[in-house]
Amino acid sequence: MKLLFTLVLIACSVQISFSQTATISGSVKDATNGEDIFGAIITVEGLNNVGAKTNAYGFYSLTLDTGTYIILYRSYGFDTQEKTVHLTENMTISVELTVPKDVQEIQEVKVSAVKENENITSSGMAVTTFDPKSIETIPVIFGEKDIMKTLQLTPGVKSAGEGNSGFYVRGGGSDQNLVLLDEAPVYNASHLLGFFSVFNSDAIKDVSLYKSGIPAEYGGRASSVMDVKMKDGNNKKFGATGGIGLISSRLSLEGPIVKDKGSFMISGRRSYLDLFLNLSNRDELKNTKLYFYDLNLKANYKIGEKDRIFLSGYFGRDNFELADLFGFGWGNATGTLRWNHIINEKMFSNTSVVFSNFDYKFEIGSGEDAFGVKSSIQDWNLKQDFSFYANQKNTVKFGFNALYHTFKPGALSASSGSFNEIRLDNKYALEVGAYIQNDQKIGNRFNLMYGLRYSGFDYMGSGKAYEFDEDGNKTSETSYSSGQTIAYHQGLEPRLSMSYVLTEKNSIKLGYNRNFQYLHQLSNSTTNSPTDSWVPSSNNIKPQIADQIALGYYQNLKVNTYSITTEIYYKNLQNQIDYKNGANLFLNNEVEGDLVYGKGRTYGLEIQIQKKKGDFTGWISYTLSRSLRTFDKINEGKEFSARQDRIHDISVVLMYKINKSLSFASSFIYYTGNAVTFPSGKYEVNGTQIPYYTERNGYRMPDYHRLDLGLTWYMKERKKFEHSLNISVYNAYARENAYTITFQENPENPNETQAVQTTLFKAVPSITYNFNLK
Amino acid sequence: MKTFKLLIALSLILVAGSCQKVIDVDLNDADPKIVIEANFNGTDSTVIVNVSYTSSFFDEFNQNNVNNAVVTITDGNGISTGIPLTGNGIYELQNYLPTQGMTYTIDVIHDGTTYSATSKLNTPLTMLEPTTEFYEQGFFGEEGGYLVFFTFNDPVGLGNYYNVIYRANDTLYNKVQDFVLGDDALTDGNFIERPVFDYFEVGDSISFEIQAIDKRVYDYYTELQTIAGGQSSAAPANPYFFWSNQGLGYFSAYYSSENGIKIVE
Repeated sequence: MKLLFTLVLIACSVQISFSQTATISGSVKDATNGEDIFGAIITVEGLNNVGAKTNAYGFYSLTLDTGTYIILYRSYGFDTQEKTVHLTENMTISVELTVPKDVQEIQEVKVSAVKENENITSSGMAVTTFDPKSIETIPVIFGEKDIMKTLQLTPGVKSAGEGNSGFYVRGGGSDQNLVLLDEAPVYNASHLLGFFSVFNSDAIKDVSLYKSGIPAEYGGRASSVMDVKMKDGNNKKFGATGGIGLISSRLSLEGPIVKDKGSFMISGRRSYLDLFLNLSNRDELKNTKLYFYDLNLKANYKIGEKDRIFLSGYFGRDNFELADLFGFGWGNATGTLRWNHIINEKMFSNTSVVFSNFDYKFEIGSGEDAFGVKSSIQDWNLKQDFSFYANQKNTVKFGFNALYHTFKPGALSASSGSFNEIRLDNKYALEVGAYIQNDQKIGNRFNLMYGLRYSGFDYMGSGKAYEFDEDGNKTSETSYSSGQTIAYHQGLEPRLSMSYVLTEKNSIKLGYNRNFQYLHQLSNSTTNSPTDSWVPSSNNIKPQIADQIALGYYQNLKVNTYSITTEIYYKNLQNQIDYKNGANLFLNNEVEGDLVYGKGRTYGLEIQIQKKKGDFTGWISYTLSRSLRTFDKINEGKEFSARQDRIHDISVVLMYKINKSLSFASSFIYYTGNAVTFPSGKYEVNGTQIPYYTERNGYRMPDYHRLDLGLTWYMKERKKFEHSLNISVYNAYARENAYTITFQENPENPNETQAVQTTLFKAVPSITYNFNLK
Repeated sequence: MKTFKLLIALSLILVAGSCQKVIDVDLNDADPKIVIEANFNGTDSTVIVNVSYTSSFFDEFNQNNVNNAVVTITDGNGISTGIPLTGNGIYELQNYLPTQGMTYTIDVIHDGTTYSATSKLNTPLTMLEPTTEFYEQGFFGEEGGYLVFFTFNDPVGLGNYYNVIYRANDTLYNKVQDFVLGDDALTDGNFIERPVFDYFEVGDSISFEIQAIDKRVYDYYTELQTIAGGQSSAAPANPYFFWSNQGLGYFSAYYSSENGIKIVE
């Protein structure tokens, strides 16, 4: 760690000492609403491979030799701004970029405004970034715009199931994705058993997904990082946006607290499926409650020129109630308090205190036989990050964090009756991280980002540690007092990504990352359920380790109208978790005895051809990949396909702007069916036919394919008001995709067995109305 | 966990009205494997062993009985007794006196391979008289009726496992999916009262049989139930091998107790 730090400093100082330099720093914002622009590019006319990028808070810093320059500020969807600078000493320049006035011109202006070959020249690879606005026309189920579902249309990202917002990245498990909302981890990012994500797109500024070469500032999950940022709120004037859909309605308000100094944003969404149920004439549905809601809040305030405070929060909950027979609810709550401080023109600091809580509970029955179960996971994280803009060739980031986890895996409470109260042991852990990373430009063509992260995980008391024999039977247990270490795991995580620009139009990139994951989600059903529990690494469970190497070739064609991205990767996974047959994951203190451990490997090829300009835009992506696992105790120790081992995966997204007020969009998806276990024989026990299985995941579900269509009508715009209507059809040709295949006795001949396929959604039309008060 | 399945099913119906159809699936034929189902009912001193082979999955079920196996039971003192064939792959021994707490071993020798399994005869549980409760409306708003509860006292001390099967009028519900399995992890030392989820009418006769089973049998039945019931486990697999040399099936030594009622107004 120290060595690397020294090396980085040497690398930076080599260039510092040569000549007289000065630094320009400041911020880049959107002129219409004062939102910080993340990733705006600052370049210097006439200088190749010199420039800066704004960080998540819109801050940039650029050090140049003293002299006169023309500085260009660019960002996607904005006009480029030029500033002529006579640089003799450090100076602050903050700019506000404007959106081109004439809407008609947007497409044209975008062409010149973006530094179009950013995909070629940046060192980072495999980052997918979306802002909700750019994908609003893409049809999704029930018309609920959902950033997580749109990400599933990009290469290397696969849906966890029909209509599901859970996802797999490059063959990793769905618990291997770090999902962050304003720095707070979201443990269960879905509503209504996975059909909707918790991210209300009205409240979201942008989303970035890192698939490889993950920056050293992120840690804690093996496969990917999905970093979601909430809108800061308009600091110029008040505004309202909202929408009415089949499933839910949304309303967001934003505005300045003090003009140009601070702003707030508040956004809510609630579903109303149960209101329809109450209209039903079926008694059993009348007393049913079935809804979810989301509330996003954010405020920021600028204290002087150098300090800014942000406060953001998210609350969301799902609720099922069936009369007084049972209730089932779960939800996330997160909160982030951040302090941005500009130490000097080269040094930016961010300090965050982050809170996150996920819990579920259910209650069954009423009166004296009622009983209920509760479970939760809670995090407190203190995080300090620094960015040091050493000079025009080096940007150093470093920082540390300490994250305290409290797991309350479950408690059963009963009013009386046959159940005894039961409370599983709470578990505690402290996860620490420290990192340093340098983003370095070497010569005109070579960009390098290298870093190292140290992570440590202290699993501690108070609590009991259990020891198990080969067969998972408990052999001993030891009690630990509060704060006493039960097991300590640690690791070094090197991260690297580099790019070599061949010409203005093409480049090659290489990425490597090692990631440690100390928390593991236990789930043995086919669908993700809120009751899937998270467990810490312990004396029995080792941290999961992923090593990934990826190589990419990037090519732009026809003056950056088309981009072609080709990447190959190989990922090695250690300490993967699976379950013994008949494992009991529910209210089981000794659940670790039911787990088995193994390894995995995934590899693949991803190709994406994207058209970024014109009335006709979209992309075609193709992924050829495998995801394999080996466990001593499963499948007789032979390698088998992971469930998400989909060999071919194709998505085609087309968006066509018919005219000023009409936009058409469609998406088509095809993938090889999941790997599944089917029986290869049967026998009888107690007069019951029992399937006989041979190999794990040796069969395939039928191939999946689906076409979605959507049409958006932007109705006549007024000065203060704009609105639109979106009509879409999910699964337009009503393909009967298999959700499950089960085997049962033939009702006409009980001696025979038949296969029954369940299809979840045939064609599902929907309509959504959106408005925006400016 | 049934509630979750119910919830999931309910929500799926609500959102979409899913549809089902019978499809053709191409399955491999595994090499036939031996299946041994052995029960020693200590209460009526009878050992019954059924030996057969697995068959193709989609074929009409055919027992593939084994009539030439050598079957013996050995008690905890090492005394072996042969179990004679009665026909159709069934081997039966009567008047075999039980010893509570003893572990028994059954050996089946066939085609030169010996398959062995053990089972412990646990403390008996005594079924008490069932109770009833009238519900005008069912759990999900359907037509109600009498719910019948089986009752027994769980002895103090963990480690009691049971399997309850019931008979309603002349129908015996003894298939694997009908098993009411329980342990006392959450209910140790309590008076247990559990319903059978079916509604009955005045005049119906319902009787319950409780088997005080070994933990290994309880685990086996639990695994078997998830497979037989077609639950959507992400990775279904065979229940663990009770018999050496990967013989399928189980051996359960148990005491049973029965009690029943006729529903009156």
